[in-house]
Amino acid sequence: MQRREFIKLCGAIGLAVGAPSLSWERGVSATEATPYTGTFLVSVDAGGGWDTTMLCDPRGGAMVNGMFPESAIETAGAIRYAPIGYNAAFFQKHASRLTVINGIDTGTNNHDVGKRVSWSGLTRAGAPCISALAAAQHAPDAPMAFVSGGGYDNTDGLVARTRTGGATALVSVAYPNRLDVNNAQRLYHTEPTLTRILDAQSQRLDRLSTSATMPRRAEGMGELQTARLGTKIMARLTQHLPAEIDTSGNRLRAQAQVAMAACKAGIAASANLSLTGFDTHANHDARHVPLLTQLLEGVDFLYDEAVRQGVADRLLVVMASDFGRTPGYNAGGGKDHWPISSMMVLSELLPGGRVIGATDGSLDAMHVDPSTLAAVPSGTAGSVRLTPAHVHEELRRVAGVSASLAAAAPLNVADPVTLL
Amino acid sequence: MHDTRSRSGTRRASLLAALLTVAVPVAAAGCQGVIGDGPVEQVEGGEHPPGPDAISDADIYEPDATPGPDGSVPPDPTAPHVGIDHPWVNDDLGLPWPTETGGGEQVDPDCVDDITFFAETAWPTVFASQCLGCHNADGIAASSRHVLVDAYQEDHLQTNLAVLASLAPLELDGQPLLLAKPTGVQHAGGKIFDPGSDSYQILEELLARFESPTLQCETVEDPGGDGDPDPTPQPPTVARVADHLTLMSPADTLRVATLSLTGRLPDESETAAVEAGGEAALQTALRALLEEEAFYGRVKEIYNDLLLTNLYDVDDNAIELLDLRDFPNRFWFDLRRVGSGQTNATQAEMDAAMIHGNHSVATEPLELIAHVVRENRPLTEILTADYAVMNAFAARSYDAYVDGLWTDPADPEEHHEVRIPGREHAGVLSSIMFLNRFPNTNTNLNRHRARMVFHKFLATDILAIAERPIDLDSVLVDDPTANAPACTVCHSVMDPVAATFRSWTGNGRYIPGASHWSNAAFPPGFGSDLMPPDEVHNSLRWLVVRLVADPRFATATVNLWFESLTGYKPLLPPQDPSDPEYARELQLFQAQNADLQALANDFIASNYDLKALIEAIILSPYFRANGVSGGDAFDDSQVGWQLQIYGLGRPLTPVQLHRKIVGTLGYPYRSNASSRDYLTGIFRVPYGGINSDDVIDRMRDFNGMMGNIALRMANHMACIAVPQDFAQPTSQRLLFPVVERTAATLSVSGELEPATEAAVRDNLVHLHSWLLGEHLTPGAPEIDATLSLFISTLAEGQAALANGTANTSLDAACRASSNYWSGVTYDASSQVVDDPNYAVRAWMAVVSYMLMDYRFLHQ
Repeated sequence: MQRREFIKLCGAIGLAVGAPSLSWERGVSATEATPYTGTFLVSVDAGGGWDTTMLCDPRGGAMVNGMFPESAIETAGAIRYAPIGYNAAFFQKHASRLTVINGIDTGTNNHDVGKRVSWSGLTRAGAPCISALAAAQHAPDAPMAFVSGGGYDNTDGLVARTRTGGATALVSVAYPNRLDVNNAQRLYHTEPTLTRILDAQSQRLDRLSTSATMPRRAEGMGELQTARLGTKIMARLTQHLPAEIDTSGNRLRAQAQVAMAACKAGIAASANLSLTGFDTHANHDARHVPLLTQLLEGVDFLYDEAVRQGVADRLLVVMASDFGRTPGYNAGGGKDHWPISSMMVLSELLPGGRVIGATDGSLDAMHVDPSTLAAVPSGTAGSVRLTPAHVHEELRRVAGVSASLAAAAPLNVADPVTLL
Repeated sequence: MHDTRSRSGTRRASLLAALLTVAVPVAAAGCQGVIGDGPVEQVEGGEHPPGPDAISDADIYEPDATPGPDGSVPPDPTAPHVGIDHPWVNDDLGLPWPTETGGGEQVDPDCVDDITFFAETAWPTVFASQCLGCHNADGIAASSRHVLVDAYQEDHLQTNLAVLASLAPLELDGQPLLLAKPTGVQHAGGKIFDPGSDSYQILEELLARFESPTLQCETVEDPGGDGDPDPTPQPPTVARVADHLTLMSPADTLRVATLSLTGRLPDESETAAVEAGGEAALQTALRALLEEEAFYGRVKEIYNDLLLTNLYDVDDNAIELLDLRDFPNRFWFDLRRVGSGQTNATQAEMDAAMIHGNHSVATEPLELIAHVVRENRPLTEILTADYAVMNAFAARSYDAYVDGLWTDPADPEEHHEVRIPGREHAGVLSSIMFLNRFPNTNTNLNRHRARMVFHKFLATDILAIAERPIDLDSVLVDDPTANAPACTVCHSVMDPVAATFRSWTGNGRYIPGASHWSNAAFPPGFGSDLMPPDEVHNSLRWLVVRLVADPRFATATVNLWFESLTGYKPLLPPQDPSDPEYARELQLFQAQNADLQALANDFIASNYDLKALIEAIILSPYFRANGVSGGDAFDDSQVGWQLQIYGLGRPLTPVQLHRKIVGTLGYPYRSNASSRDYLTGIFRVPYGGINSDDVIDRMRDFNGMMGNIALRMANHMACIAVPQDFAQPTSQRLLFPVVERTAATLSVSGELEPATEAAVRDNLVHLHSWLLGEHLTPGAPEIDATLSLFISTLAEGQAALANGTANTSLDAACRASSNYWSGVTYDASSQVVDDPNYAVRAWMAVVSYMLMDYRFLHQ
């Protein structure tokens, strides 16, 4: 679905895109505009295909994992995890708010399709990711509705995504009328003048839009009008950015700081965090474990930052990857692509400490009994083989994506399962 | 039984008649072996007239303007032919429009004819998604009789349906071949789906249709069968919306193209020539643009989006990639690295040599491409060149310096063709920068490089071949890349090409004979060609000859330039037939694909003349369309939705915006004259650009962050450019050729004196034209609106000056006391430091207003 169609859809469901919204109208002061305070969805992408046997679907023994025996596998409540890297610290700390879904059949060994299906539930090109849907649902006109740090961030035209480019750029643009961003008294234009300029621009854009018959131009004008709605409100972000942006080397940390500041400021509804490099076809153990460590340490940092900002109770964190990795090593000590994967959801909004789904001894996906959520052998009557679409059906529900909006990218799950 | 023959609410006409006229080469009678497959048995077997009004969103309506309010012009059938022949003149969309038969009769809404069934159900659901990956001319099933063509080939529906029709009579083990194979009977690709599945039922219906065709749906008087004729109004029959598009005038086209290609505005003489000479003069002007050096900079930008090698254009990062064992003098300029006594250069000179050398090494593949274009050689040479292009600094690092070749070896912009000793040259593919940007590992065996070759130069996404669901059991075999159909579908195409990189190491060293390839399953080759063993030391050269002979090379070039010039990627064929928009999306794809394929064909016919291709794209409605003639017939509920593929509408890229700012204002957007540009620096990624590293896809939609960047830019540039412009002699001003900064005092009633207002209006007309490309008269409503902003700001400021709340001096950051670039102090009479009547600040407000405008920020 393209934005143009979405605009028509929004008309049908009472949303407004491309026209001033009450909560984000430019001219409303930063203190008067209504910040978004609902569920904030963060997608954390392990780009390249992660090894779930080293994470939340542990397998020991030299054939599958050379780093630990089966007997060394540890638990945090009902959650079993591999005894390596940052796993113990992460799972022990967050098990109570964590839902692990194992045995998800992504149906692909293809990176592009894997990213797409894992983050949208759909295989078709251009499908919107869950972060885009959440942002389009809750704050389509917000200045930074969807903050993207990378990964699969396709929006299908439903909402504009924002790449922040780092804290320096953020601070610079937060006060576009200040000659010196640190001096509120030195302005390019007086506030009344700037207001008149923006009002005149808004009126001119309306006139241009009225005469626009070519859809591309009309769409561009709508985007520009929407983008200007939060001109002043972006300044809120700088009020909530930490004094120092993290430069520790874990790329997720800085992304997490910006995302949580945007959440706290109420100018965004979702964010993507991305860590790449998991496609370890060679020298797997030595390369993969440090990445998993960064991943979990980064999510741990994200949660702590959410607590610091006082927004942890709004957080809905989803962790996924393109697909899994083979239950064994290739000649180069690497692990190749494997369509069976896992996803993890971390949130205080949901019951945690759960593991749903499983894999069998061949790391093939077992089925799930939809009523008890117990893992059962494939072929069991009424059982369901979990796919990313099943998970996304649930993610959309808990993220509050309306049926009308979901219809923009229908999952068409014939056998839905209440997972979350 | 899956049966879509009856479908209420849908009305389709037939194209099967066209199908029957298509000559399709099908394998001669008799069995041809599919790899590993068993034998098969042969058994029996009204156009809408353009209205008087041209609707356009190009400009604000201006009744006195000539030739029209926006300068837009409808297509002129008598106009001189320009550019390559364009296909949009007389072809149609490929799929039928809903038709009205007249006389109250209508096509039976419950009927689905064969071509529609194939187009909307069988092709996307079964063949495109589950068969095409192997059953294509380059696929592992290329030698079978079931070879399909993809949706990018015109008439692909007819071609493929004819292929399938030829297979329909065949049986295998007593069942139809088309049903047996995909269910796993003697099928090298294994089981694709189960008997009874949706896909199986679709094939059953297809076979039934071959037996009993529904070529064309019959008309009925009462389609609902309820005695009540269908009251739904019929859409107008429009052969092709493109025929009714209005285009930007030649002068407006020149303006947009000049900004896009060179980052400057056309001068008065260029504009006048095009206004006088029309389309023919436009073509001449475009060709002249394509000879300017700034255009070659744009070429390099565009190809960096493809190659991403600018990643290394930092410090000495590119030179560091040259392996010391091959290039011991790579740091020839650096005393610390090569030892004393080899140079007596100063540190500053060494630093400069490093920057110049590193830039040339990093951009070597881009310079090669620019060189090929500059020399007007066939673009195929970007892959077949047996040389590299570099400056003297880089040549010394490569040990490729040739005495006398460079007129001025110290000139970093003087580039020449050189051969790097000891290396095979194969255009950009043998570039160390390309090879490092897309490296090899012990296990990927050059596959990543092969995938990039297909993606970047053949418009083929290897991974898309295998988008069908993976059957886990199918990959649990020994050496799955060679033996598992789910894997070989890609690897059989990719691995032979990967093997042609066998002499190239992960960091781009060329070591012929030392094979970096261990997969014997797929020896070096391309498509059905196997590389002869005696080519082993020239494997890349063997490959590139075949790459450029492949028609997909032209397609890839068209796609790249189409997106770069219009801001829109070519459409992909729709994939989901259950999507209610599927039929429309298919029509749009087919319409655009036909045009792009025609461009590709013309590009080949021109002997790969890139400049001719660029001209053709610019002259097309994809670049020039700005309205449509015909009025209400084109509203969205009817056929107006087709308009969404034409015309421009994207924000400028950060680099384009940077150039436009410089080109229109004379000054860059940066903190001061010696600092780095914001839009190519800290705002590059936030404003939608790429960094050639981890951000490699451009954001084309405008967002809040970009809105704030644009606002800050507009404020900053008004602060810099307005005072600086007023400081120049009137004849040299870009922004204020009509007014003086002191002549703008308001009367008690808040009005300007008539003469002053007239001058201000004249200057506003100039600003609207110069900055926004609008052709307005002094009395136009848009001029009134801008004048209102000017006067209201003046009123606010003069009141503030009167009551002492405003300063008569400009902020220090906005003063023009010295030349921006040289820092030389202006004469006192020229300096713009004070603003006693607030006019400078009022003009700043006006310029800010214009610089944040849609028409400044977008193409």
